[in-house]
Amino acid sequence: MSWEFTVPPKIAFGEDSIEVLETFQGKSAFIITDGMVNSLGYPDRVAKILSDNRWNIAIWDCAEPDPKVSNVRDAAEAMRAFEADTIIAIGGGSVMDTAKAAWVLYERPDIDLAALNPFEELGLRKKARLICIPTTAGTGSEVTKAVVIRDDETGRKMATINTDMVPDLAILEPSFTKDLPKSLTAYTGMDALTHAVEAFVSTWKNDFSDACTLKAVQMVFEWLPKAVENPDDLEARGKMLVAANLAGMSFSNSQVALGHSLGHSMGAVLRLQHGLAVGMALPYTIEFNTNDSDEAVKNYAELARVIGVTLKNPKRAAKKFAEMVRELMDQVGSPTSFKAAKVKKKDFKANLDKLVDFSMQDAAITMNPRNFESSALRKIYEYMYDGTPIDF
Amino acid sequence: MGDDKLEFPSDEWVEKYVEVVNSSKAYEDAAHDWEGDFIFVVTPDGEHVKEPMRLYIDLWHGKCRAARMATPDDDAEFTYEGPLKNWKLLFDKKIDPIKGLMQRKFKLGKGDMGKIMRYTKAAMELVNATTLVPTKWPDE
Ligand SMILES: NC(=O)c1ccc[n+]([C@@H]2O[C@H](COP(=O)([O-])OP(=O)(O)OC[C@H]3O[C@@H](n4cnc5c(N)ncnc54)[C@H](O)[C@@H]3O)[C@@H](O)[C@H]2O)c1
Ligand SMILES: [Fe+2]
Repeated sequence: MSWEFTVPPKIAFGEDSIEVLETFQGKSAFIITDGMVNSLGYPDRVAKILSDNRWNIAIWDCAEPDPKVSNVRDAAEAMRAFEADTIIAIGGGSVMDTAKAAWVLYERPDIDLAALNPFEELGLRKKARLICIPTTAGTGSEVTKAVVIRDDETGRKMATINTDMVPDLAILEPSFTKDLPKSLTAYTGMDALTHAVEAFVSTWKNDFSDACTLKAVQMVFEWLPKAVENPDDLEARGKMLVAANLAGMSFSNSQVALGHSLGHSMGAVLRLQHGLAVGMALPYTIEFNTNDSDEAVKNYAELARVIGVTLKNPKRAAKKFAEMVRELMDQVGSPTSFKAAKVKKKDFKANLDKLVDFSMQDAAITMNPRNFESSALRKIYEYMYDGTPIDF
Repeated sequence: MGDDKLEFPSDEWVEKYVEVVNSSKAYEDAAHDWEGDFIFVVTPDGEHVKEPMRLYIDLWHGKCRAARMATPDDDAEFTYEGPLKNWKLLFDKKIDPIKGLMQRKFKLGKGDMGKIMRYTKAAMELVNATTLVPTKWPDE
């Protein structure tokens, strides 16, 4: 059955890749970032290159973590006032998603972000093009069709895709990630791993995304511990940016699965950092799928082989893969249970219904290789509280 | 065996489908607060389907509370339409109902897209239910 694989026309990577901006055509660049990243000086570095080439530049640093629709509207408003022909996002997934969604509103003020969907052509690029420069090595949003915005009223994370939103240029500049603290390096790295793994078991998987996943999984296991251990290791930083990018290309074209449905809900309801949340969910979803999907077993076993597992029995290899994910998380300091993430039992219990409800509304559950009802999700969350491996 | 099959789309087929949907725990679970009706359209292919064939389905809180072959006057919040060959692939699970829209195998008409994006699991369960109806196709 026909399908498409869409990625940006250009991805610049490696030290000084930022200089690719010297070749980009345009007059007025609207830089979207957040206060933290702005204070680190990366937007100024970009602005300097552009102003040397006679661009007009505005820096808007009001992006918020896990952006809400209202925050995006503010960005779009500022973009409109400035009449940008180029939008440059410099930041983590939150900044890049703010830029993508604001770009949609800038070009299509008629669109309701809650109704953004994969099925309608947006017709972007009549006013501006989008450049993304990630400062975390995790979301891969710089190459994806995906965007995640929170509803102001309910706080629910609305994740969707649209091919038009794939950025025009992605720049993977390792030095832009070197100030990322160890914890966020670990969490965002786990997001990248979760994208790669989930794309490989998704019911929408395809050979192109599989190829990206295989390299990404191998790279995360090799380079994430090094990036966490030694934040100034620009080689490790650069490799993690590439791994996250490959994982982004993979899932953008084959989707994520249950781990993200659980994780989006955890981010919305308990305000856990995205990578921490999806990473925590990952080993449990591997076990859950392995217990009742031969297809998933085969795929996890193949991933296990990539990281050196030699077990012949596919089910044992798949289980071993979940174990190795947990070991990696322990090594880099990414919590493997709600308890370890310091979520109080009473908060967890008080929010369990909402956690399950929001997960059931997340589109990624339909791509999960094993089907289930909401009662299974509740049980998975309960096991995740104490860190009990899934046995059902 | 062949004689037990119900022609799609027809009132008999719909009647059986309603029975299957209404006994699906998975559908009820995923759509427990869904409120909205659909018209499923088999679009003309110039071969086996000369005129559009339309099914009206009213879904309410995890159950199907009304369904029938639609009359030309019937209207619904959403329409989901595609040619016969794609409906066959959908029922065979060779096309995924959501991906099918992106593959341009089906078209989704009208309705609040924000609402539908929150119920993709319910959509999947509606398709899963079709596999439990023994179906005879107009070209068979
Ligand atoms: N669109 C997609 O394809 C996609 C994919 C996965 C996740 N997401 C979304 O992205 C968001 C998460 O993005 P994220 O994990 O990159 O985190 P983030 O963008 O929310 O950033 C987390 C924190 O890190 C800080 N930070 C960012 N870069 C830094 C740096 N270099 N040095 C120091 N601090 C830095 C930020 O200021 C922020 O406080 C979530 O909302 C998630 O749902 C989107
Ligand atoms: Fe993610």
